[in-house]
Amino acid sequence: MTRVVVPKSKLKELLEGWIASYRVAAPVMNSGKLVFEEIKDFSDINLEDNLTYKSPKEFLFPQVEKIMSFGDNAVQTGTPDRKTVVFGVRPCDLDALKVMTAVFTKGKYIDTFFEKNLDNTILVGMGCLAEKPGCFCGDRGLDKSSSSDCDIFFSDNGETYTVEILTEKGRPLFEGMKLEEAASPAAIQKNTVSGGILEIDADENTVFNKINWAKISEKCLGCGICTFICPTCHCFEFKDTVETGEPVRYRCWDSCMYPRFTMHASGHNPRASKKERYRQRIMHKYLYVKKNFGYTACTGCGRCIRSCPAGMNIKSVVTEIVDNLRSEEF
Amino acid sequence: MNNPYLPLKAEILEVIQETTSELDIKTYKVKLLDGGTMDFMPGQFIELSIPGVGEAPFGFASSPLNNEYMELSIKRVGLVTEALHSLKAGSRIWLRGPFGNTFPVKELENNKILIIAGGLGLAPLRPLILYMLDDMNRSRYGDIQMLLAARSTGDFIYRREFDGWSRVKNTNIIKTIDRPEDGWDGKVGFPHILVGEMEIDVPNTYAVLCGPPIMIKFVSAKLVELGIPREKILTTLEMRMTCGVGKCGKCNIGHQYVCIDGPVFNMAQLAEMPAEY
Repeated sequence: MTRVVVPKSKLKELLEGWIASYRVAAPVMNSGKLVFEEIKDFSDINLEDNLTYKSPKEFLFPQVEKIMSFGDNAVQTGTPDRKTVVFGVRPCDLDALKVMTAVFTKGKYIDTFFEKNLDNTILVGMGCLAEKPGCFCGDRGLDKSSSSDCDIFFSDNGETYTVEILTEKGRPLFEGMKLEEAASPAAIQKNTVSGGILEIDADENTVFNKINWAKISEKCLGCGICTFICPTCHCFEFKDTVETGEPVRYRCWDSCMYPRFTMHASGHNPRASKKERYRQRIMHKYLYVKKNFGYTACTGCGRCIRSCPAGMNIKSVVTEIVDNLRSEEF
Repeated sequence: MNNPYLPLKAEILEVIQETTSELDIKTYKVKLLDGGTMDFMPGQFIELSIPGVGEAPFGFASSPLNNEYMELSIKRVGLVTEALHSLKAGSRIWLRGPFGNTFPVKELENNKILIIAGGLGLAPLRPLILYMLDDMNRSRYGDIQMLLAARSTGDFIYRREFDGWSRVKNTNIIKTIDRPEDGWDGKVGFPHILVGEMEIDVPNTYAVLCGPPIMIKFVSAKLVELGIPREKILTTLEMRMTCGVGKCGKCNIGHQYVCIDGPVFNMAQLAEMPAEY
C-alpha cells in the first residue's frame, strides 16, 4: 500500500487525467438529487461531504442489464467492457459492495455478469467528515472516515487529501504523478460505538416467530423504494422480450416488498402479505446474509430512512426487535 | 468460470398427453442438441427457457440412467408453461442445469422405501423410482411400496407404467382416487388415511413424499405418528426460482435457499426452518 498527499489544487489535474483514459463516474447534482453519473468535465463533480441519493451499486449490478440474446445459440451480452472509475464512494457503500460481492461471487456459482463489471470497475473511496441526518453507520460498527474495501481511498484533510493506493488495480491511476508520500497516520481514530453494534444476535426461528411483525410493518406501504435505493439489496428477476425479431433476456432489479416477487405460477404465495414481506427484508439483511456470508447486509447509510414515504425507520425497527428479544417475554 | 445463466439448446422429441382431466399435464421428451442428456441425479431440477417468453424451473421426471433423452412433466399453469404447451415435437427449447441437491440415493440403500405421491407430485419422484427399479440398482434397496394418489383416474400421470413398475421384484403399487369411479380397480380415499392401513416395517423404512402441500402435511404427520423418524421422511419443495443458483433472492426459507440447499429436505430439517413455503 502506498500513501500519498494530493493537494486539493491538484485534484482537477488528476481527475482530468482519469477522464481522458477511463469512463469516470462521480457524485453529480442532477434535478436536486446527488447521484453517481458519468462525468465529462471535472466541474461536474459535487465534492460536498454528502451521500448520494442512490448507491453506486448499479455500476456493478445495473438496474436493467441485457444479459443474453437468442439466435442460433444463446449469446451472453451483459454490460460492455469499459474500465470505469467510480470516484467518491463513501465507506458505507464500500461496505455494501463487499457484501454484494460475496453474494454474487462466493459459493458454488459465480455471477459472471457481476464479476465482469467488478473487474472493470476501479473503486475510489472518500471518507465522510460528518454523519448525515438518518445515518447510523457508527451504530453498525463502520468507520465513516476510512475503508479498505476499495482500490484507492481519499481522506479529506482540509487543504489536502491523504490518498491510500490499496490495490494494484488502483496503481495506474497515479502513474507519472509526482506526489509527496504521506506520513503514516498516528493511531487511527476509530468510530466508537456507545452501547455496542446494532445487530440481531438471535436464532432465526425466534426472530421469525416471536416478533410482532404485523405491528412492526403496519405503516409500510409496500412501495419498495427502500429496496431500490438500498446499497446491499441485490434481488432480481429475468424479463424476456423480442427486439428487432431477436429474443433477448434482461436482468432487472426486483423487490421483496412486492407481492409477485415470490408468487408461484399456481397463485400460491409463501409471502402473501406485507407482514411476511417486511419480515423477509429485515431478516435477510440482519440474519440470513450474516449466516451465509458473515456480513450483516445493512450499513447504516440511512437511505431507506430518508426516502420512506411512510416514515419507516430501520434503525428504530431493529432496535425495537433487539429490545423485544432482550425483554422477559422471550 | 462458466456463466450459470446461459442455457443450452434442446429439442422436443415427443409430447405425451398425460391427463385427460382439466389439469392439463404433458410429458416432454427432450434432448440436448449438442449431445444427449445432462448428468443429473434424482431430485434435481433444470431451468427451461422459451426465448422471448421467459424461463421457469422444473424437476427432472426421467431416469438419470437414461442417456438418450430427458423427460419433464409440466402442467399448463403460467406464462412459460402456456407457451410450452403450444410446442410440438421438433420444437427448440433451452435448458440450463442441473441444479439443486439430490435424493440421498446412497443413504436410502438397504432400506425399505415407501413412496407417496399426489398428482403431479409423482413427477419429481419418478427419477428416484426408475433409478431404484433399474436392474443395476434394484438389489441395493429393500421392498418398495408406492401409494400413488390422484383426484380422478384422468388425473394420473405415468399410469401406463404402473404395471411395469409393480412387476419388478418386491415392488408394490397401491393407487387411489378421491371419489369412486366405474371400473376403477384401485382404492378410493386420501393417502394419509390409506397409509395407516399399509403394512410398514417402521424401523427399516424411508418415506419419500411429494404432492400438494396439504397432502404432505397430513401424510407426514401420519408417518410420524406411526413412528418413522422425521429424518427418514423426505420431500421436495417447489418455489419461484429465477436464477437457480442462490443469487436472485426469491426461494429462501430462512437462510436456506431451495435452489441450492434443496429442493430435497427431510422433515427434521423442515421442522427447524421457518414455516414460509
